[in-house]
Amino acid sequence: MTDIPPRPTDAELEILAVLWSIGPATVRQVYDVIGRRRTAQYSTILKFMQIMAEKGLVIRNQDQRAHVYAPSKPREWTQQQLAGHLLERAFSGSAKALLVGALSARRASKEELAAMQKLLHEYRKERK
Amino acid sequence: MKSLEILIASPAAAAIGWTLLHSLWEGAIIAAVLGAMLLVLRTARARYLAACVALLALLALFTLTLLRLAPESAQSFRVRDRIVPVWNIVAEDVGSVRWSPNLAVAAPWLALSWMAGVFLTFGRYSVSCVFVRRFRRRGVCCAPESWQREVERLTALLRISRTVRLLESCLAETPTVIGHVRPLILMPVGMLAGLSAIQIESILLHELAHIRRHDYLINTLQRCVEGLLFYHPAVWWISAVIRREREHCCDDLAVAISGDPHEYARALAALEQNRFSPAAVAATGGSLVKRIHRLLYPRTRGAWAPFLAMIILVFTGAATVAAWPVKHPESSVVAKQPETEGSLGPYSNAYFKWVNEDVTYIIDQAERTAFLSLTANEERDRFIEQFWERRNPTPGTPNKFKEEHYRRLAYANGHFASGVPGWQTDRGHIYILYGPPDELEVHPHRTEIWLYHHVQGVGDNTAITFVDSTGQGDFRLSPSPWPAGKQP
Repeated sequence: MTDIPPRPTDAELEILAVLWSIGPATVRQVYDVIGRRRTAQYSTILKFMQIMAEKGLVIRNQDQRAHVYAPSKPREWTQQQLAGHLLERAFSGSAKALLVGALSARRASKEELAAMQKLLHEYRKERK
Repeated sequence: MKSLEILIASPAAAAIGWTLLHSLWEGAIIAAVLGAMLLVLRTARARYLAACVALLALLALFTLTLLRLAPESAQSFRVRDRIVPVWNIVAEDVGSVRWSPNLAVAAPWLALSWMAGVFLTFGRYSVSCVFVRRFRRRGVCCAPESWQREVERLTALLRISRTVRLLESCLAETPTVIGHVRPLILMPVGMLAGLSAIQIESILLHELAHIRRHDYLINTLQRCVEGLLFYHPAVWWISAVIRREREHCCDDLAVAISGDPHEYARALAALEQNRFSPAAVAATGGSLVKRIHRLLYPRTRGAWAPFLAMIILVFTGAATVAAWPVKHPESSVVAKQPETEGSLGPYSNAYFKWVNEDVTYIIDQAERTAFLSLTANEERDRFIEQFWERRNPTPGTPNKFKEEHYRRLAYANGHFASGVPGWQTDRGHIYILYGPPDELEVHPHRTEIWLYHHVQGVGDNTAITFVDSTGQGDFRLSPSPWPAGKQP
């Protein structure tokens, strides 16, 4: 087990997503969330989570009777690791061009964030 | 390399090249009109619609231009009754003839680079599509039941007939809509827990507004147009306007339903703050800052806007009219020329032009001498009238001969100009005298052979060869390789 866990596979990522979403959870809880989206076997998910614990992707807390799993790394860290993949870095930009959403693909700068906060703050003050 | 040469020489390449060049000014006009309309239109909806129509109009004009040029050039190898070298048709449209030969050389290369560009862009898009599909499945998990139900409630409220699924994704950086038939809202993992319920609701409303307005589909089509006209600055601008107004439309809808612009603006700011990718390199006044400003302080336009719009429209109209080709020059220019009462110079310009340009190839020596000896404009007008009437095949009726002559003159000026006006070139001379050749052969080595089956006073099957030795479109009459009167 190394300090830096390997890149998660797609199946492992699905489990990590659940853990990031609902917080540390037991295999049963993860299985419940995944089972809502697709048919899954409890035993498969258990097997996956055990492998992930060995790889260092999740940390197993054995204090209680039912083992509680937590992601070993925060979401942001993993996302950056995933986005670092060369092909994805090259193409996610143009892939984003095909999506629509509340925010543009371009990240706002620090100055812009500050400008937004200032706008909101002033508006609040005026209203009072 | 051989195939490349063939491609370059093909009429299709020339037609595409010219279409690309034409789209530049077509797009400029459309962009100017859109710019004027945006000054007047207030609602995001109307502005969005105007920009969409502008983009469609650009695409339609591009297609029409291509269709118009394509058949002409396809025939240019062997035309029965019209000689139509591709570049000259176009030159006629633009109204500026002088630069056409140089562009004629460049046009096929433009076409080639354009095709390469389109190929690359669409290649990139298809790879992107694969990534988008993966986005739907990779690293996603079901959103909490309560939020899924909330989405169902809002879906019904917005009267969306499709089922919308809400998933949390650890790859999505921002709330995102994917898919048209089976739309999916991807929320970044953790966002549902990190924002207040009112804020999440307003963000969901924004995303559902995208779904209701079929934005995913429209955006994809828009990207296709962009890929096709990727070289065009007007397209970039119009496309950016569409994207901006699209977000405004959804903002408006979200605020109209949630009723709290401030909370919604805060939600947008919070979303931006929580993005995991590193902050962009310094930039201020980005689109989101403007959007938030627009939400908080709905803008009223200055009173000068309509005036500015009018000015833009008038200038665009004037420029368009000025550039419009004069296809049928007024054949009775001379008759309509205002009389210069009293001061009778030797020749006013119109009469000079008539004898030395309009009819210089068909007037005979005696007539010329007679005309030049006239002193009063009334006499000259009468002479010109008689001159045409003598040549009228059916006297008393509208003069077919004169009509045809001026048509040939206009055609020669429109199609053969190269440094000098078309009527002065060798091809123009022959065309004005004998009309369109019965057969036309265009050879790759800048040679055109015109074959006339019968020429009055010259003989049968006369072949006339023009050679463009400079490659600038300056075709010169060359001694015919075949003796006149023999089958080539």
